[in-house]
Amino acid sequence: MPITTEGLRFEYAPGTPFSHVALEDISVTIDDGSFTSLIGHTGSGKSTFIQLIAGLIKPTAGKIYLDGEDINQKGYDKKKLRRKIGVLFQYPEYQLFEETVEKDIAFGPTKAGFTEDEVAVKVRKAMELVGLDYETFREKSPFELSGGEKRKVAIAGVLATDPQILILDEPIAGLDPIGRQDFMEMVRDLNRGGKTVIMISHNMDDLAEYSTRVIALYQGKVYLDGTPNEVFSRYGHLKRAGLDLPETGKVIQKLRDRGIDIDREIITKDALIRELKKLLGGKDD
Amino acid sequence: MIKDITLGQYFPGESPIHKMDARTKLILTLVLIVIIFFVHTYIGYLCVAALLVLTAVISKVGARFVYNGIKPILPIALFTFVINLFFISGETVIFEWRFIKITLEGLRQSVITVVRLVLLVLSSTMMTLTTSPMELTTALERLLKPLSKIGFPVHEIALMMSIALRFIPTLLEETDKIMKAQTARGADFEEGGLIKKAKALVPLLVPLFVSAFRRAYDLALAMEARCYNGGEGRTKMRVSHFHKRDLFAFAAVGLVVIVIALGY
Ligand SMILES: Nc1ncnc2c1ncn2[C@@H]1O[C@H](COP(=O)(O)OP(=O)(O)OP(=O)(O)O)[C@@H](O)[C@H]1O
Ligand SMILES: [Mg+2]
Repeated sequence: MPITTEGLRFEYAPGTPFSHVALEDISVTIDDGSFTSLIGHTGSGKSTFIQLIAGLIKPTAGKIYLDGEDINQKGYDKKKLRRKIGVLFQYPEYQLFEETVEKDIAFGPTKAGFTEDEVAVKVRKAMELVGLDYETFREKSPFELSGGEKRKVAIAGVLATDPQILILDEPIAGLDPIGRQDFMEMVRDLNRGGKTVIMISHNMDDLAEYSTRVIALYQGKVYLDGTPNEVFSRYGHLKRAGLDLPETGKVIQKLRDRGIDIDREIITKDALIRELKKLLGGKDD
Repeated sequence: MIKDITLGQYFPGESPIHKMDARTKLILTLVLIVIIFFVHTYIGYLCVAALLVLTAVISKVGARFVYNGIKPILPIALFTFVINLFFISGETVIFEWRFIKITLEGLRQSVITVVRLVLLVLSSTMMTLTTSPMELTTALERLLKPLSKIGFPVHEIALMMSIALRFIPTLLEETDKIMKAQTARGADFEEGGLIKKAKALVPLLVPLFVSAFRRAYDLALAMEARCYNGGEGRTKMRVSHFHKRDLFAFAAVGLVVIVIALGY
C-alpha cells in the first residue's frame, strides 16, 4: 500500500492576514514496509504533512494516493483509510477518555467494525505488545495510571486496530531513556513484521539506527531525501536546515577535523565502534 | 476546521486607529451607539456613516472584513425591514394589493431602522476589528476602576475575562488536536442523528475537560509561584496613554454629536 503525493501544498488560514503556507510542492512515494523518518526544524511542516496523508486535513492543492486511490476524491471510503492508517500523536495520553483501560483500547477496533470477540483478542494483543499486563490493568481507570502507563494505554489504543501503516508524530517526547528504547524496539519489530512506519522525531540517533529512509523538510519543501547514510552524511546541508547530527556524526566530524580519514556514511553506533577498532589496529570481532 | 473560528474579529494592523488608546475607542463607540438612537435627520445619519467609513478607510482593515462583521445581522435587518414595511401605516399609499398596503411613511421608517441597525453594528465592529480583546479588557478595567471604591470587584472580573480570552484559542487548539487524534482512531463527529452526534462528543469532551482542569491547576500554581495576590498595588507592564490621535478622534466624534444636538 504505497502512499504517493503529487504536488502537495497546504496553506493555513488562507485569505486572512494569518495565512501561512506550511507545505509546498511535495511529491514523494512512501513504499510498503519502509521505515521512513521525517526530520526538519520546528515549523518545517512535518506534522502538517502526516496529517495530510492520514486524511485528517485536506490539501490546498495536490493529490494524495493510497494504493493508487485519491483519498480526497468524492466517495472515498474514509473508514477504510482509518483502518489502514494508525496515527500516534505527541502526548497521545491526552486522548484517553473511557472508564477502563480495556474499553479505551477497544474504541478503535470497535469503530473499525470488528466483532466483539475479535476486539477482545485485539485489545489483549495490543496490551501485550506495549507491555501492559492484561489482568492487572484491564479494569483500571486510565486516569489513575502513571504518565508512562497512560502513554502505553494510548499507544495500545492505536495499535489495537492493527493498521498496516503506522504514523508516529514525536511519540517518544517525554519518555525516559528505557521507555524510549522499548518503544523504538517495538516499532522496529512492527516494521520487521511488515508494517510501514512513518515517524517524526528529533532524536537523530534513533532515526539513524532504525530507518530505511530519511526525508528532511525545510521551510515546507523536501530538502534531503535518501537512505539514512546518504542524508546523515551531508553535514553541511543538515546544519543549514537547522538540524542536528546523530552522535556518531558528531564524533566522526571531530575525528575528520583532526585529519583522521573516516567514512562519513557510518551512522550507527555499532558500525562506528567497529570502524574505530579497525583504525586502532585491534581485531575485528 | 475549528481553528477558523476567530475570537472576536481582531484584524492586526498598525494604523492610527489600531494605535489609538483602547479607552478612547471604547468610550467613543459607546457615544456613537447612544447618538445613533437620537439621530432623526438624513444629515445626522450621513455624518455618522461618514465617520464610520472614514474610520474603516484609515484602519486599512479592508471591505471584506468589515462586511464579514455586519454579515450576521443582515438577515435580521431584512426581517425588520419587511415587518416595518407592511405594518407601519401612513397616509401616502404607494402600493396596494388585496390586504397588502405599503405607505411612504412605512418605507421611510423601514429604511431608517435598517440603517440604524447597520450603523450600530458597524460601530462596534470597527472597534473590535482594530482592538485586540486583551487591550479591550485592560481598557475596561481602567475605566471601571472607580467602581472598586464601592466594593465592585473590577480587577477580579477583568482578570477572569483576560484569562478566559487567553485560553479560548488554547482550548480551540486543544479541541482540534483531540478531534484529530480521535478521528484517526475512527471517531466520527459528523455522521448520524442528534443522539449519535451527542454520543460521539464523549471522546472529545472528556479529554478536553481533563486538560482544562489540568491547565487551570497549573495556571493557579504558576500565578502563586510568581507571587500573585490580587489586584492591590499591581501595575501593568504596558500602559497605554492618550495621544494626539485620541484627541482627534474625540474631536471628530464631538463634531458629529454637536451637529446632531443642533437638530440636524
Ligand atoms: N493551526 C495552524 N494555524 C496556522 N498555522 C499553523 C497551524 N499549525 C501549524 N501552523 C504553521 O505551519 C507551519 C508548519 O507547522 P507544523 O506543525 O507542520 O510543523 P512541524 O514541522 O511539525 O514542527 P514541530 O517540530 O515544532 O512539531 C509552522 O510554521 C506553523 O506555525
Ligand atoms: Mg510537529
